[in-house]
Amino acid sequence: MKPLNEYREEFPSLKQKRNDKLPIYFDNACMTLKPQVVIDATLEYYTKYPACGERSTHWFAAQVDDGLAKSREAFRELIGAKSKNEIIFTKNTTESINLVAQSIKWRPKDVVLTTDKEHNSNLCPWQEMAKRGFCAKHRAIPSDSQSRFDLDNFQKILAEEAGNVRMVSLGHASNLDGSNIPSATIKEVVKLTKEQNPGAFVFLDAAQSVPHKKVDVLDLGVDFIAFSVHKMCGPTGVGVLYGRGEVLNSEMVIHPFIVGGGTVEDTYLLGHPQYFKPPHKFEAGLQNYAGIIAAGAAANFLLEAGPERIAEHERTLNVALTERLREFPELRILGPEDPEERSGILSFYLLKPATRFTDDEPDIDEKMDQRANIMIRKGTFCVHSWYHEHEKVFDQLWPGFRPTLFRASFYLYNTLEEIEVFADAMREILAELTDLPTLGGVDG
Amino acid sequence: MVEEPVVIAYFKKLFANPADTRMGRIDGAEVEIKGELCPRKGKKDQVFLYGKMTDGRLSALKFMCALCDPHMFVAADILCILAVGRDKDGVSGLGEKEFNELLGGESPEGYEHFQRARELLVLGMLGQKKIA
Repeated sequence: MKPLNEYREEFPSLKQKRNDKLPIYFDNACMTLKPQVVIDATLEYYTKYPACGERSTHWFAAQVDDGLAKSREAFRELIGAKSKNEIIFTKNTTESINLVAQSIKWRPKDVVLTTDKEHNSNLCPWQEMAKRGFCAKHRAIPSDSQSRFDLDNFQKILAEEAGNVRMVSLGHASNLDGSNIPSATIKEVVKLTKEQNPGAFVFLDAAQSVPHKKVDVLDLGVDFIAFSVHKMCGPTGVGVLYGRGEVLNSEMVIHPFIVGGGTVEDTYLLGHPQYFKPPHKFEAGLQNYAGIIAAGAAANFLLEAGPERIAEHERTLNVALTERLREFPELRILGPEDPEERSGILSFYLLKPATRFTDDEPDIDEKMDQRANIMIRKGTFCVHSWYHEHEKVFDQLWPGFRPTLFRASFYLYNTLEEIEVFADAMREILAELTDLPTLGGVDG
Repeated sequence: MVEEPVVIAYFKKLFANPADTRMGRIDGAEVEIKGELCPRKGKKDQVFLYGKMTDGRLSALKFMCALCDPHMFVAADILCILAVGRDKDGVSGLGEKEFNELLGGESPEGYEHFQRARELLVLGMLGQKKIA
């Protein structure tokens, strides 16, 4: 096994320079960079065998079939699934969650539980089901004071809903602040949910966890997990939905909502279609073959690099940056105080009513990019609901205070040297903002 | 837009004296309106105005700025001072001279923001709740 830092060499986008400086890519929670092996796999499909898969028997098609099977197997191995038939390829995490939400045979009193800081993709599909009357309601489990999953609050809601909980869908690692739900807690959630709600499911939105650490679906005992390949060195436009075999195979529980070519064994003008077994019944139409085959290359790349090593590396970077940012009293970090609980994500805001003097001036993220090629993210990170729920908290700092949130997120190719460059850039930028007042009596 | 020292000086003063600020909500306000007044560079700021009305005139006015630049804070604060005691027409008639007097200098950008906030207030006094 080669040292983790040598994997950086395999990312061509990190070798280019602008203004004689290398890029510092800290936007990995949104999209990761692609190693040469993934680029090659994409190119190989289009160059050598750009045919359809799982339909034809010719020379080119056989290579596509082989690539698809290998990719499915790589993902099975990556998440510890029992069978590769439990791996369904989708477009992304969002589509995976929607697929489950729309495919479950709901009952009128069904209740869906999520945390109170879900990405819109693990919020809107469930809210939509309730709005359309497929299930009774969606409820959010309040996080604790450090924005961590609160098992006590979960148990309280479970008791209040008295056997009507049908789906517990949790963000495994938060894209907002990086906080993770520990494995032991997830196992407890699974146990309590199923004990008190026969027929209920536990779903993990694993978009920010599978790319960054070891996730073992059998050990956790969950029914579904979803993640996106573009967040784990793979191509855009490919997602994975894991569904426990017993669930996917049960016609009484789940039925595909997108049907047509590729999903059916036989059809008649009169009568119902006869569907394939999973995963094919959930993969309608011609698929993104280039993407799926390259996704397999990405999964193998991560298996080789080692998810545990990646997790440890990201924690090291987060601890280092947290330590450096402590020198800026006007800067607040979102989420748990302990950086080891924030995996590879560090989101922050400034205790200032404004982060620039005029509307036309570049904001912090733009200055980072323009001066040091540091790429970070600004915004609400698709967690608008969390932001709105915290408006009262922000009002306590100052009436109407709505912080601009920034997020730095790391991956296996980032380095401690990059953390130093980031911290130095931050010091320079904050020095320029000293004329802007700092809230709450904090000296800027 | 350029950074104007007179605006920054007022802005700093605004946050240095919390007791003397017009920032905040008014419970039971008859005028309550919010607007996105600086939609530059895709930025979605929000300005909230809360006013109490007595006999057709503003008897109290407060504001909140979310994700705004200093010009808007300053413009809204000055508006909150100038508009109290005025009816709708009186608010509409507030001009650059009055704005500059309270600002303590000239600021074309600041006045541009003031005009937007003033229009928002007039719409609020007409009963509107929100403008995009």
